[in-house]
Parts: sequence; C-alpha cells; structure tokens
Amino acid sequence: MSRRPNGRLRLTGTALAVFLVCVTVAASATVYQFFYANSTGTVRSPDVTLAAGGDASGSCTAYPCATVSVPSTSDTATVTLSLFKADATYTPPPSTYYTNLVQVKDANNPHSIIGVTVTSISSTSANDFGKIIVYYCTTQCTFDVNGNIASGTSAGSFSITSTAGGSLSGGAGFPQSIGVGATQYIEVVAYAGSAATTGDTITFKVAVQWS
Amino acid sequence: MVLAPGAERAGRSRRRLIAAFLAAMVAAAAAPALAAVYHVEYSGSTATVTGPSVSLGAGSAGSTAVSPAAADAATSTTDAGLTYYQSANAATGALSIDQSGTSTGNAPSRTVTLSATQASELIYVVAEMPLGTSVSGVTDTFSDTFRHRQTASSTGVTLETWYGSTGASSGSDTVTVSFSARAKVAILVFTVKGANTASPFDPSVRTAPSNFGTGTTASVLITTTYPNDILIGAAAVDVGASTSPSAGTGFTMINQALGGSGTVAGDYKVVTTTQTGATVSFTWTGSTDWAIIADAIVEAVPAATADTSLTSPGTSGSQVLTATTSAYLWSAAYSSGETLYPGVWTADLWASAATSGTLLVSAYAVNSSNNIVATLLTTGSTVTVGTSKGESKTTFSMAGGTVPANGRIMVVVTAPAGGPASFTLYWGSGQLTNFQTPPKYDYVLTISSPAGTSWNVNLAVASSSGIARLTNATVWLKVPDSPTYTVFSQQIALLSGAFTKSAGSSVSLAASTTMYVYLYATASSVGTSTIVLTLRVQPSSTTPYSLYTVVLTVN
Repeated sequence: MSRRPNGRLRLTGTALAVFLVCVTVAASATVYQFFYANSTGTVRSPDVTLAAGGDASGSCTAYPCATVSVPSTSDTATVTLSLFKADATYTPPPSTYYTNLVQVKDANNPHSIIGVTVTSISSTSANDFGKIIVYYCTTQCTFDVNGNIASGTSAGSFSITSTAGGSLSGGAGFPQSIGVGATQYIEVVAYAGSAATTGDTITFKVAVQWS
Repeated sequence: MVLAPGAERAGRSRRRLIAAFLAAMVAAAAAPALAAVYHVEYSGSTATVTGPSVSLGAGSAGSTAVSPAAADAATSTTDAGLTYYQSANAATGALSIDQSGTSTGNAPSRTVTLSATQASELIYVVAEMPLGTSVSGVTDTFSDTFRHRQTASSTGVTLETWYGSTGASSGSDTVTVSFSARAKVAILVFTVKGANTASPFDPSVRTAPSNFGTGTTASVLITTTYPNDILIGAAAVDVGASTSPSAGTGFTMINQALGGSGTVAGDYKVVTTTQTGATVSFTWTGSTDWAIIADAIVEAVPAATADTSLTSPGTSGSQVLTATTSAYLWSAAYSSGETLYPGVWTADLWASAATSGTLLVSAYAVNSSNNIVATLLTTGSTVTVGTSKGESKTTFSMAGGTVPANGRIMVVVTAPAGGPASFTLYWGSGQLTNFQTPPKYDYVLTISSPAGTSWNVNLAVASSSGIARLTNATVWLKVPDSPTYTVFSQQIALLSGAFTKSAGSSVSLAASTTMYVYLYATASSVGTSTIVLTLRVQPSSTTPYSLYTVVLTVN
C-alpha cells in the first residue's frame, strides 16, 4: 500500500491480495471457499503434573491428617484434609498446617505457572468457614508459631472465608516459572469456625493454570 | 485536479474502510498472544471438621479454661511467687483478762466498778437471774454501747451475756446492769485486753453456743475458726449447789458470786490453735439446775505496716514474742484484689527461742480494714526454732482464697501457750524474715493422646506481655516415664524479664498417655504477665501438624 502524490492511497501487491481474501470471506454467505488447516491431536502426558506431597497419608485415623489421590493422568488431585474448630478469641487461633500437601512438578521443559485460583467453594457449615488459607509456594513455605511465613517463597495465597473464590495473590505474584525437575507446592493452613460441628465439610478446587 | 464532491466522499469512505481493515489485521495478529495455549490442572479438596486427637485438659494447679470450641486452646491462670519481707515490728500483746468484778442483790439493777480499765478493752457482762426475769439494758460511765450476746435458761435460772467496749476511754468505769423487774440477781463484769473490739467474736461463734440442764457439771462445746482466741465460759448455777463452781479443765476462773437465786461464774482459756468441739465447763457438787454460755473472742490485729515490701528492707530489728503473742507479716496491698490458688508457701523465719520450741504459723486474706476474710493456712503448722539465732525455712500447703480489693495476705506467727518462755523474731538486712507465695504449679495443663498413634509435641512462645516483672519463669513438660512421671523437658525459660529459651525441643508423646505442663514463676511486683505459647502437635509418622494455643496468665 502506498500513497499517491495526490494523497490518495493505492493498494498494491500483498495488501491487495489480503484485501481480496477478506472481501471473499465477507461474502461467504453466498459465495465461499474452504481453507483447511490439517491438525493432528496427539495424546501426551502433561509436562507439568500434580503429585501427592509428604503430608499425605494412606488413610486417616488420627488428626491432623490428609490424603491425596492422583490418577495416572497426573493432572488432577483429590485431597481430603482435617481441620479443627478454633475459638477465634485466641491469638493466634489454633490451626493445622499442611506445608507439603500437593506438589506441582515439571518434567521435561521449563514452563510458566500462569495463575492459581480457588473455585467451587461450598460448605455444610452455613457461613461459618473459620479460615482456610491456600498458598502456592515456589519453594516450600514454612510457618512460624504465629502462622506467618518463616521461610520459602509464596507466589500468592487466598483465604477462604465464604463461597466466593478468587485468585491467589499477595505473594511474589504470577506468572511464575517452573524449571525442569522443579517442584512447587500447594499448601494449606486451616481452622474451622467455632460454630462448626464435627463432620462438617468445606470443599474447594485449586486450579493451576500453566503453559 | 479538482474532484467533484461525490468523488471526494467516495475517497474518504474508501480510506475508512482500509483503516478498519488494517485495525482488524493488527487485532488478529495480537490475539494469539492473549489466547496462548495453556493447561489447567485441578486439586479438588474436602476439608472435614474433626476433633483434635491430642487434647488439652485442665490442670490440678491454678485455674484452667479449655476452649469450649475444641480442646486445642486453653488458658491457665496462676500466681507468680512473691516474696514479702517483714520490714517493721508488728506484734500484739497476749489476750488476757484485765479487770473483773461482781455484784449480787435483790434489786432492779446492779453495778460493778472496774477501777483501772484501759482503752480498747472489751467489756463482757454476765448476769444470773431467776427464770422469768431478763436484762433490760447495760450502761457504763463511759457511755459505751452494750449489746446483748446470748441468753440461756434452765428450770431454775436464767443466764444472759452482753458486751461493749471501753473505746478510747480508760480508768474507773462503773457498769450498770438493769433488769426487767426487781429480783435476786448476780452479775459478773470483766474486761478482755488485746481483743478485737470492732469485731470481737470468732466467725464460728457468731451465735454463742449455749446449753442448760440439771446436775453437777455445766458444759457446752465450742468450735473456732481463728487460732488465737480467748475462750470464755459463763455459767449460772441454781442455789441447790453445795459447793462453788470450779473452772473447767485447762480453764482459769475469772470470778464468781453467789446471789439470792444462784451463782454467776466465768472462766477463760487463751488458745493458740483452732478449736474443734472444745469443751467449756464448770463443775460443783450437789445436783442443781444450770445454764452455760461459751464464747470465743478474737485478738486485735495491728494495722498493716505501710512499709511492707517486696524488696529487702534497708533497716533491721527484732521483736520478742512471749507465750500466746503473735507477730504479723503482710503482703503489699492488692489494689485490684487477687485470687490466690492453693499451693506450697514458704515461711522463712530468722528466729531464736529461750528454749528450743516451735512457732505456730497461720495465714489469712484480710480486707482493707484488716479484717480476716479467708483462711489460707490454719494454725498448727509449725516452724522449729532453736536457741541460737538462725534461719528456719518451712513450707506449707495452703488453701486458696480471694484477697479483696486493697486487701492483703497476712501471715501470723504465734508463740504457743506452754511453749518456750519467749521467741525473738528478727527482720531486715542479714536476717530477712519473709514469706513467699507459691511459685510452682504442678501441673497447669494436661496433654493427652489417643490410642494407636504416637506424637511429637513441643512448646514455643508466640507472644507475651507484662513479663518485665517476672524474675524467673520456666515451663516444663512432665514427660511420662512409667511409672514415675518424673522426667522433665524444659521448654520455655525466662530470666529477669527476658526469654532465654523461647522454644523447646520436640518430646515424644506415646499413644494413650498424658503429659503434664508444669509452671514455675516468680515476680518482683504485683501485676499480670501473659505468655502465649503454641503447642506443636504432630503425628510421629506423618508431617502435617497443628499449633494449639496455650495462654499462661501469671498474676
């Protein structure tokens, strides 16, 4: 495309060809052409996988306790964990710490953890959620006696206090790179509200988006 | 070239079309970057509320409140050990009978003149009269107020007791007893020296015990709360007696008088221990009707010394205690009051005795008026003292009690009746007579594990406040060591207001066992210190753990 001395635009070469294609497409309601992109879908194992962390037990008979089940596809994890009721008048409130609950592993190529969100929250304990904090730690986080991160790197966290989900934030942020052979961690610090009863459950999903 | 208006519009329209096309192209080029290929993996979690397998429980010392929400949080309240040094002489004279007199006759009133009363003496009046007659009132020269105390009647005689105080007056005092009608009467009036005239009677005899009957012995039982009382017996014996009444065993006759209808008599005994069912009696020959009233008058307590201190006094001195006299040690005043928990107290006395013997120790909570409101240690607890000046440190298990606002702890050291002729109690520099409230609380909490799983536990400091007053504090885990439970693991240590150890090493808690939390704390002042601890509870075979919250409030 070039401008003539009189100021008019002149379509030339490739631009003209593209223009014609567009015109052709625009007229597809009546006259159209097919363009084919030949795709081959190949089943492969994900390069970033989920795995049970060291906090997982085979079964739970004494508490605190967690189980983590990961299918052969390694792209989902089913987690059960216990939490105790806490009297919020105590500071810090009594809490249970799962600092190695679910691992995120990178096998062959470097990738990026684009973001982590908490979704699909429900509770049998009305609105008395207590507090469940989900952390995504690029290096394993440990906590001091007051529940603050003592070591490790948190990319972000999300506190479940209602059925409203959200993205993990407040840490180092996303995206976070994950190198070949690296392990990152989904960690949980939890206590139930004092009005909860034994057997009440709070369910939630942690979605890890990577590319 | 000049374009026609229609051609110009056509050109603008074409340029807009081309610009829109280019914008679409740019957007199409940018779109792949926003819609990059990505993958989402899900971790689906179910968090289930359970009870903690390892649970906190109440201790046997201090006061424990385990959270009603779950046994994963608890508050323990105790007192720090405080050492109170005697810093002045504070002693009383012995309770004794000072003046007495009798009068008999057939008249509507009788008088007794006590020639040399002293200020702050209790005036005790005993009147014997025929059945159907009563005392209508008592007056004296000092215009003191007299109150009726008790009445006892048998078939043949009536007995009444009244009391008043000389107050600030002293010297000759004539006491007049008026009766409801002219009758053959006999009265006994005596004064008690060293009595608490504001609240003269032992709490156990708010109503004076009495009895009546026919025979040769008049008797009634009496029980007291305080150790240092003077027991009083008052009797009316009908005219049928062939001999004058004699005082009961261990008692001393105050005085007696035979009137037209019978005899009035009084006896007394100074005691230095709490009495339980002690007998107050009189005996005579010749069976006849009788009535008896017993009483227990408490000693006056000196005002708490203003210089009672938690620090070593800069001066020194001594005081001599003869039989039945007492010395007093006070705490500083608790402006907001204080709950005292049961525990082991220490009496550290520097003393000597004329001959080897024992001093009696008792302890009380007193209000701001120095009146006893709770007994912490009943007398009978003894400290052995030799003839040479020396330190006698003795521990006592004391009951709990409440010190009211602006009240104090009062420790009473008494030279017993029948013991050495005298003791000398020293205080001050180099001879620091003192007492210490309990510093040890074994135990303030329990940590219990269920069957089947062993655990690792330890304590760590989360926060604290008001700890500057703590001179020494230690928290131990008393580890099960079957069967003795005597192995300790120090978890927290504090010295001079600063933590020297803020976390303990992990200790194994076997399945189906209980561990005990032991606290030792001393302080340099009255106040409140709070130490918030977290108890880490982790199954020995897995890595999740819980942090329980334990609040230690040390007053």
